[in-house]
Amino acid sequence: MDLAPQPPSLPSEVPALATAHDGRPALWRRTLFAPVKFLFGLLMVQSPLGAVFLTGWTARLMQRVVLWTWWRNARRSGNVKSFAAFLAEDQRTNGHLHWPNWFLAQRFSSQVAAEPLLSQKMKRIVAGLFRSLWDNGRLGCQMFLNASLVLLPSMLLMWVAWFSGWQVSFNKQYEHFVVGGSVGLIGIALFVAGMFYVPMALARQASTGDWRSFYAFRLVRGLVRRAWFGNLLLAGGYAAASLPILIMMTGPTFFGQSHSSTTELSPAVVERNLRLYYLACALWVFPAFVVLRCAAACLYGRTLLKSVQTGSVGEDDLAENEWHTLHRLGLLADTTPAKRSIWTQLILWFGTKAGRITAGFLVAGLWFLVVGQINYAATFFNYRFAFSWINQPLTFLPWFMHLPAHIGNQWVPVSVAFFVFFAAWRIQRAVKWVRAKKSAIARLNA
Amino acid sequence: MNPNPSSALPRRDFLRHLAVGSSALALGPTLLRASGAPATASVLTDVSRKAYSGPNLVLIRWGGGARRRESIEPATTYSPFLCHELLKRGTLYKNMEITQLKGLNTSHGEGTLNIMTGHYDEYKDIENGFLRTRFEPKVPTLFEYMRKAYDVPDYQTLIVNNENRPDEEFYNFSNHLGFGLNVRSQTLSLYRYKTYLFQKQLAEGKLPEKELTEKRDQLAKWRKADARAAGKDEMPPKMEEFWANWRGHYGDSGFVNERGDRLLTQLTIRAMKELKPKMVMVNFTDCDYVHWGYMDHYTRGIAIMDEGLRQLVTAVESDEAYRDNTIFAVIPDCGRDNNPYIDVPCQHHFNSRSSHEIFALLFGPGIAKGQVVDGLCDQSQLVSTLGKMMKFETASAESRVLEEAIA
Repeated sequence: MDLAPQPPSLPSEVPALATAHDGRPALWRRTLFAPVKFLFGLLMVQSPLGAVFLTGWTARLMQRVVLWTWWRNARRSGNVKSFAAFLAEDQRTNGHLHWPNWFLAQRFSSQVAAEPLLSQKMKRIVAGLFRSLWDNGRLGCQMFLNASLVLLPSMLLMWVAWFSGWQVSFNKQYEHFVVGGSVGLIGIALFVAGMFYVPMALARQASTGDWRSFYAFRLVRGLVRRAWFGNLLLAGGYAAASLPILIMMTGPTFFGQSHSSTTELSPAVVERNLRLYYLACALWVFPAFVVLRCAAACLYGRTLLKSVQTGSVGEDDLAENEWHTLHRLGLLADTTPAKRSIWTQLILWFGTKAGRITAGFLVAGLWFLVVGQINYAATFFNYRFAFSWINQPLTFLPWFMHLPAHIGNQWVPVSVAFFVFFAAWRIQRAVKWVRAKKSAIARLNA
Repeated sequence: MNPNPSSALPRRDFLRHLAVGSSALALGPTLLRASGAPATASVLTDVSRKAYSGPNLVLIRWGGGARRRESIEPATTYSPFLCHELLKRGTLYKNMEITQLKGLNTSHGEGTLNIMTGHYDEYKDIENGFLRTRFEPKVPTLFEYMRKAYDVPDYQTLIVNNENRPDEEFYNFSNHLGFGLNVRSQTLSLYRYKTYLFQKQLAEGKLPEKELTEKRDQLAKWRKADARAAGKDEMPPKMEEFWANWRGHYGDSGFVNERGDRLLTQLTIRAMKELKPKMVMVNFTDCDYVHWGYMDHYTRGIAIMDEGLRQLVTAVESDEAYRDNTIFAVIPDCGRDNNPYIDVPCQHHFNSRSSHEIFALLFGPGIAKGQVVDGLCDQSQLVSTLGKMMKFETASAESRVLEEAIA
């Protein structure tokens, strides 16, 4: 395992063939592929494995959003060309000339076309055919595992609390009434506390392309403290976007209203209807997930920039690719005049002690609202066993497809197998890395 | 029997009843509160009533919300005593329904009042509380009909209620003219016991001041909950005696007696020994826990009800005062959904067709044995049928009788 910070998984070559004047793919191509990419996004929401790929795809898009945020800031000073031109002029960023692909490597056709020999073209095709799929899966796994480490314990606590609370209530075990409630409150508190951190930390992970940057606690905490107003808006966005999710989770409860108590529907019919239903639901879940993650990325980009410019964050704290981008854009020092609009004053007020306390309570309340909707209210209307508790499609894994247990979902074992494979692979690499370090130290000592 | 129950209750009649009931609803509590008199129900001014010598009634509300599938279908039942033993002893209406009427809700409070009044109606919480079900029956209940016709004291007409449904504590009387408070029934429940206990503890004054204050506050809160009696309800001496004996036996802690629906069975059996009720309605509830998502709470709840029913039948058969002179009626307050699209198909009962589908079993003296009636019939028909068997008028109830049951 290489401990040095790595730039995100982007093609290393400088573009050899731009398909439009500023390096972007031509408009007709973007128009053609946008709905295809969107359709793939809808499909990815349908299984846990697909949701991991979607998470990785979104992480790459988040990196693009951070770049866009900084470019937009630099444009105010007037010394930057178009966004596409800015992206194209450096190999670290030229992969973002278009939105992330699902399968093919970024700028696949131009890379293939740039190869002079047929054999090299073939090599490039083979290498690039599933490059994005691999990147999406790898980044998705990293994002999922990092978020799991913070959020999963709280979700498990809430699940246990629901179970034990209602067991105690059903059996009227008055002597133990405190168990369910207190465990549930601890779970909720941990979740709310976790959500103060996770969106910003995931944005940092996406921006740097390095999973370890998720654990830059001091930096992330500092950014959260400097962006109370933005956090408030972000939490509000999650709370608002969760309401349609609650309604969609509840939807199947009201299916079959005309069924008599003796009606037997074939599992095939139930599965078909539910698959169609959840595909339609993805029309909300997919864009909402992507937009909220991108909003977090935008918040991260803005806050980090301001922090660097005011000296709150040192240049040494930046990842290599972040420093390089800010340096190219001339943003490491603040060159824009400060504006004092009412909006700015409001944002500044949230930086005061009173503002921070107020925003803290409000943000906590909004995250509580998210838990209340997605976990508690949705579970009351439509209990989905562990799935009611261990996932939130907007904050965690964007998987929104549930087939009842009597039908089963073949994607669940496939996804579990994938996670096991991925974990085994990473562990094997970690062991190799430790061994290499040990032998290097031994050689030095010798 | 009318194959189309909805035609027997024309829309115009339904609306007329609704209007009359609503007017009474508006006046009833006001009159009660304005009277200023203690709301004790032991005194009746009508002296023409004769002693009751007909059969006793044990009415089991098979709830909250139990489906036919887990109750009376042999292949899928969780109530073996009901399904394999009792069905042989009586008449089963396997296609009973709650009629589909606009504004009629298939929930527990409404279903209980359908069973008690023999009349479908639209109900609202007496103080428009959110998700509250403190309903006022607009036509007389079965208990009121009986006490109006016969000289039966209130403590011999009992509703046994589950602690989870405090709103259903107060279905004892209607606001119908000529009926109401004076012909009310009494309630047995943990809530009533606690009310009794706290009053006694306050009078005894032996507890620390902090606890006394807490209990005083709790009592005040409970008095407010009984919006219809406005805190003026008083327990008749016989009921006080019952609770005194209960306290002597089980103590003050609440940890010695049974809990949940098992407590209802325990209360009923004890009441049969001490109060000798002529009419008792046992409002089982626990299977309704399935709302929170655990199917085993539903099936366990039904099994607990089944065991309670077995104990009640055994208690009746072993008591000279009740043996061969007691009618049993088992009827759900409502059905539940049958939804294959979710993990727990019967998690709720949101007015679906399946939640309208119930059943009724009648057994006892004068009731045809081993009979299964396939035709459609209505939940509201039970009151007139029981009235006919017990020989009292049920003027405001659905007039159609379940004739097949009467041998």
